[in-house]
Amino acid sequence: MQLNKIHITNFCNLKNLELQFHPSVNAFVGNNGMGKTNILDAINYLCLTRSNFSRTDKFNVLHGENFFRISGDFTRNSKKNHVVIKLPVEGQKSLELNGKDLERMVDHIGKFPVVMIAPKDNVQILESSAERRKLIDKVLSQVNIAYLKDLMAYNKLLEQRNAMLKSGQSSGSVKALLEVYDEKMEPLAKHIFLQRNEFIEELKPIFIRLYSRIAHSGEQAEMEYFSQLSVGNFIEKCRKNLEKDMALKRSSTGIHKDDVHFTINQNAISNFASQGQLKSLVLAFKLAQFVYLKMKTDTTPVILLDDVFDKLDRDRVKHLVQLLFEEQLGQVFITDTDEQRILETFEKINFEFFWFKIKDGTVIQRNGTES
Amino acid sequence: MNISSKIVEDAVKSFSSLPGVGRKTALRLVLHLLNDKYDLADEMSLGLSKLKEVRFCKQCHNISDNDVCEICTSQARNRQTVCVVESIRDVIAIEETGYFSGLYHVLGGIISPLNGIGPENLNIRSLLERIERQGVEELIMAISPTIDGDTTIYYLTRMIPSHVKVSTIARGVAFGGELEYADEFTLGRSIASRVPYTVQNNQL
Ligand SMILES: [Zn+2]
Repeated sequence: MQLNKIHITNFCNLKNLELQFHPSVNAFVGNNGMGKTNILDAINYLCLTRSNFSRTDKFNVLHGENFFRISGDFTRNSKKNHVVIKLPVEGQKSLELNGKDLERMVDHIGKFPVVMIAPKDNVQILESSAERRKLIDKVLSQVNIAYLKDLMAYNKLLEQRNAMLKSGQSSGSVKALLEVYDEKMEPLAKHIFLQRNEFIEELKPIFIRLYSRIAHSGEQAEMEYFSQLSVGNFIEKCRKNLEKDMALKRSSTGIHKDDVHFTINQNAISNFASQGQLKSLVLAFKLAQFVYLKMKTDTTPVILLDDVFDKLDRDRVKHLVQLLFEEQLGQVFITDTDEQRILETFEKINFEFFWFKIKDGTVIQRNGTES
Repeated sequence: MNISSKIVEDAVKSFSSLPGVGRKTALRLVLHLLNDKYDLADEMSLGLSKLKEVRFCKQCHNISDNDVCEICTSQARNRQTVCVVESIRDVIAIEETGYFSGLYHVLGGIISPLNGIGPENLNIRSLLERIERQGVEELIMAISPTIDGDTTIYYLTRMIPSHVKVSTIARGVAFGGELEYADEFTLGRSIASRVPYTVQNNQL
């Protein structure tokens, strides 16, 4: 799959930007805050209908304007596709695929698979189990739209169940309703559990292999999926916890408590991992997701690499780039603050690419020529 | 807009407080009433003041002039079948079709704790009482096909005696509609809730 062209209007600090892309590598260089990451996020919008950074849509409208619009031309399995996403500040986000309005955004997910690797991932993976689940959900949703629909339905029911608990009522009919929510959540929870479990099992060997290649140190990384659903009966657990839930006013049973634990040489990363180890681990985890997506969908996902070379020495950069190309990435979009580093790196491996120098939301140089 | 009569100004204000009526439309309506030769304004004001007398049927919670509404008191209707709906508007919509001859029960909404609506905020207890007292044999759930609508149906089904038959209204491809134009969700649901086909079924 390829993104051939993008047209961005009023998105973040990008006023009006039209870019033609190279089928393999596209590099964006420039200082921080100039808009490089925003271009990657605009691509993320075209693929997943939303920002990679979970910001509210409205906040992505250029200051003082009342809408943003992003359009892109994709080639997928040699078929051309035109995607337009629009957000008026007052009104609904809309998405158009080949001239036809999509009724529901979720129908777009998975059509143009993407993986973004950003520095923020390092924090996310340490921060909370909710953030770790999000990283998993983002990939599974692109492989299986039924997964996303189950997850959305489950979350809606969970929200209602929690709202009922928050009200503090405890009559017989309220208890009966809480049991109804459990019974409706059960089949959804089971589907989600099975999919996550299978996903982690398939991802694990890829992740372990990639980590040892990236870290280059003989260390062994591992990942393990934890879920209350792996043993026992869901409904029985809900019944057992009902009184507790009513006292705590939140739901204690379900796949919203799932987690993934990472270890390096059998030590939990949260306790000791160095910045370097963490960075390698996140890269391995994200690249594993790319390999998985490529395996499970009928097209090669686009990969967005935001500032991944930051704080790496030249050898490590070279090593990482080599690895990236061994994994047969398709189209790559990469940002770097160090212009020299990125140009040299790709020139050295004899790779054709386009590069864009970004300043204040506009392109001031393309492939060495003034724009 | 500057109006030289305070009375007209007040009338315009009243009309424009109705849903879907802007100030311009309100003014047009008021001027129409002023020029009207057939005492439409008198007739309307009488009718409007009587609206206060409208109550809710003690049995089905539909709108009614008496304690019990005309649908509930009608001898021509099948008392063993009750159609459960969210709102009075749904009763009117189903009545318009002319296809239903049973009675109704208006819940007054669907279960949604996020909106502050739990089972006790709806007309559920009175439904359970009716089922016993009236010998209801079948409930038709004419409730929105949403997650909350389904929760409400599930909850009701759990609460009622098991001998009462429960059905939901069919949701699917519009009659005369072509399959390729149905969205995949509707089509998927229509296949899941398919009905047996017989020659009798073929007639409307
Ligand atoms: Zn009635």
